[in-house]
Amino acid sequence: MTVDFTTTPERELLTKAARGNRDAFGELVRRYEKKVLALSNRLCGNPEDGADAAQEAFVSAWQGLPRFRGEANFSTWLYRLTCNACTDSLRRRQRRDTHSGPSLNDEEARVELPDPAPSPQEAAERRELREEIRDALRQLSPEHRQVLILREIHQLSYGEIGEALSLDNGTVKSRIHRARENLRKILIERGTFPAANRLSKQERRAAYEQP
Amino acid sequence: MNSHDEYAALLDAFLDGELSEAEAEGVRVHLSECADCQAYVADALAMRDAFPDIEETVVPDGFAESVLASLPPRRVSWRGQWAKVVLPLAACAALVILLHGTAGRRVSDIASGGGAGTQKAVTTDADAGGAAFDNADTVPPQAPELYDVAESQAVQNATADKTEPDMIPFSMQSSGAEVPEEAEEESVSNGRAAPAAAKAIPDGYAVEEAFPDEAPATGVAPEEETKTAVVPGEGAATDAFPVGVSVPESVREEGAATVAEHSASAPRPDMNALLSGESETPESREIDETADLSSGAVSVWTLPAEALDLFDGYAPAEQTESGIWYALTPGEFDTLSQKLDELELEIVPGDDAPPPTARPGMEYVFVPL
Repeated sequence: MTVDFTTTPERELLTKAARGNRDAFGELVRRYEKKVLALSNRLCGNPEDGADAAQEAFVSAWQGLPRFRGEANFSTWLYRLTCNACTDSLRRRQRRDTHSGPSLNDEEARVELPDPAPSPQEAAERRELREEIRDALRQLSPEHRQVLILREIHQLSYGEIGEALSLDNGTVKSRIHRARENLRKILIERGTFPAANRLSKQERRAAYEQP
Repeated sequence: MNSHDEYAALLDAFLDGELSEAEAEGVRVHLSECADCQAYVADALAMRDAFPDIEETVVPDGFAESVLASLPPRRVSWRGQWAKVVLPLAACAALVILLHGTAGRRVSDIASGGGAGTQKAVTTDADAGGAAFDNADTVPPQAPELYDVAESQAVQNATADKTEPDMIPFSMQSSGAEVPEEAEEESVSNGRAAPAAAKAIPDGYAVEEAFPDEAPATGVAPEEETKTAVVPGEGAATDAFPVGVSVPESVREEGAATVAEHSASAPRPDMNALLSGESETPESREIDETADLSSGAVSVWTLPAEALDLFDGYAPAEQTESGIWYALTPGEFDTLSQKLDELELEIVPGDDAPPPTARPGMEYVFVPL
């Protein structure tokens, strides 16, 4: 008989799952699968490896739950496990690729860039920025990809990112900065972002009025 | 007034909401004057906008199911302790039956099917929880089977347990030690040593039922109440603290019809000293250097009745009609707290006056009957 855990608070799910209750753990999986996959798909660069790594992360969580003390959030901890699983997956892929072709190093694949920046009109004809971002992310190093995804997709704070990746705040901040710079550079090189300041004064003002 | 570079260094924190309002305002002012910084911020926001949404994530069909299907059995490292558990168990069970009439209320409650919750009979094997209490005969024959398993496992697990610093070795003060059902269950390695099956808390006392939301696996509640961070015990379990351990749900769930009997673990502390033979008596404890006898402070705590098991082998400081006082040094108290954390039992500052014999610097814990 399967108990319905859909309205059970997370704390209780964690307690039960730590003791071996698979139904409770199943509910945790359902609640977090999208978030974990969102991270793993992008860190691994494709949905197949992403799904494998996500599954691995959940299995690690199952095994580690009894020791999980809750100094961190469960989600932060789960993201950490996901990043680890993805790192493993990337290393395995590297080893595979080493045997079959040019090797990837930690700076990620050096993809051939398209021809030098086209005119703004041509850039507009290109694929949407969303797709560009997806491709551009693949060109970042794993370290940069990790922090940027956790920040921009999962909206983790610097502190939470630090917890997930075992980094101090300063390192988180500088990695995010370099990640943004690199991503921006890639987009400029692909012609998605015109190199020069392109926004009108009004747009710029709107941009810094928030966040 | 900050230089441009100083503001430039703040832009990411600004974008990510990590600045104070005052700092953010300073950045805004700078942005109104600096085209380069404006461009950076604008591009960062455009990129942010273009990042995929979590909700758009495509979850492969049957993902959760395939995760569940691939979960290994939860490792329960009961093994290393079986030698200590099983050996005295036969004697213990016989003795308990003998003491049935004279031992504390709990034992008889349970034997008669009363007591809290559903009680299961004590056996050391898969006897469908009948009145094993009445069947002293059935117990000893079972024990030898388990001896074999225990012995073969005990060695490998003795070492395994010790090599895992983050495991929580529970010392197995025998009495009433319950033998877990899962002889087949995988042992060790980096599973928890924790549920080293000293005592099972039967369903009626199961922490999750008694304290549904009190102390999550995260151990937050006890920490709030009592002390500083609980670290999964490196050597947390000293021999002075026999520990009752809850039976992991996996054990129960997997049809452990013989979750061993709580009652067998309930005999009075002095009984345990008799039964276990290897328990450390309070007199033999080393002086706990953490005892601050000069502080003048006597701390008073109250535990739930279920925690009585934790004090097996421990001489009470004072016994009253309603419960028992135990005196702990701060070091022992810390150890206790960690155990409580594991079991998700709650300790609260006590209302009662400590016994007149209370010494300053000691922690006095009251366990109601």
